[in-house]
Amino acid sequence: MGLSDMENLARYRQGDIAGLTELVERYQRPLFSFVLHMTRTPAEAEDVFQEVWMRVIRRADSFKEGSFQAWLLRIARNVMIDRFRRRKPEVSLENPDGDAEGDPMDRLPSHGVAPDGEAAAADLGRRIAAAVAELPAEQKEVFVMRVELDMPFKAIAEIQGTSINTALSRMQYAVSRLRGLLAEEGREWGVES
Amino acid sequence: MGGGIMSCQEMQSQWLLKMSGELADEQVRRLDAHLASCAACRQEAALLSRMVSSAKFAAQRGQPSPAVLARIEAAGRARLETVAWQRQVFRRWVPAAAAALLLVGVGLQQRYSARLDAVRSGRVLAALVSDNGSDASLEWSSSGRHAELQQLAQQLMALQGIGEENELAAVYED
Repeated sequence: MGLSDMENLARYRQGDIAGLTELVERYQRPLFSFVLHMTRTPAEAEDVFQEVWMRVIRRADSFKEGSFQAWLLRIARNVMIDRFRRRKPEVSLENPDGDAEGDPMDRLPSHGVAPDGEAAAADLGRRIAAAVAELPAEQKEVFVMRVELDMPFKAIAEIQGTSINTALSRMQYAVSRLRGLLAEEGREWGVES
Repeated sequence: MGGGIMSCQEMQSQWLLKMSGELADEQVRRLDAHLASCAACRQEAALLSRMVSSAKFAAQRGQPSPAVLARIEAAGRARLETVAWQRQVFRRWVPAAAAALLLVGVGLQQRYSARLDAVRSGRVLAALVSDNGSDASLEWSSSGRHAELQQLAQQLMALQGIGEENELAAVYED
């Protein structure tokens, strides 16, 4: 059995690069998956992914306890919010309502369905992925963390800085929207709503 | 639809919590009892289950490029080198700096201690002079401590910036 996250971090703090390498390897997939969902392009996801680890490196001494994955995702969230703030004028053009209230994550842009017609693909999983991409950022965040990263609502709520009930609510809204989006084409879903 | 202790409105949130392992045993029993008695909720739960498993299957499989991973590792190494350098500087130079400060402190203490002694002597002299003719100065002169007074006056003369005491010392040179 490998070392725990804390042990790897301690190893890195003591000067062993292998501690960091193992953490990067361990969280590469879930972190990149999360970031990929939340950004516009793979290139942007790579930028965010890299920035997250740069911050981890700089703040390695500040992590004391708790879930390393939750800490990582919180950093990722902050990196994306910072990027959003830097390019706010561009985003506000896409969001003419310019609602400045609430969590900035909610104002991050959603993916559009790829022009090659991903929604028309036969594969149900791919259609779900396309539908997930259409979700508002906070709902998408909860959905991805819960379904893809298999995180409990308690941890998701902590990352989002909200209550477990709010996180659960966002998941329910996400599920409801997904059903709606898929219902437009979903004979096999048997959705009657 | 409905029935049982749990309402249909509660079912979805309870099911989601059960899937994430965050539903208490008692609540799990309530949920299971409700699903057993409500066909609509069973259908809804099956739909949710299918949606979640399909989404899991469709999870993003992308990964960052090797160049990004290499940059992260390089940054990690650079950070370690910086920290090692800082530690080295701390280990080598901080004790040396502390020793230097200590020496300067001791030197200053000695220098100002001598100066303070001389000033105190000057005050004694000044007191004697101001009491010239008084019982105290007569007592000093008559007790044969004139030489001692002269020595104190010379110490004062050696001091810079205490002109008044120099004049006082001259008084006692004869």
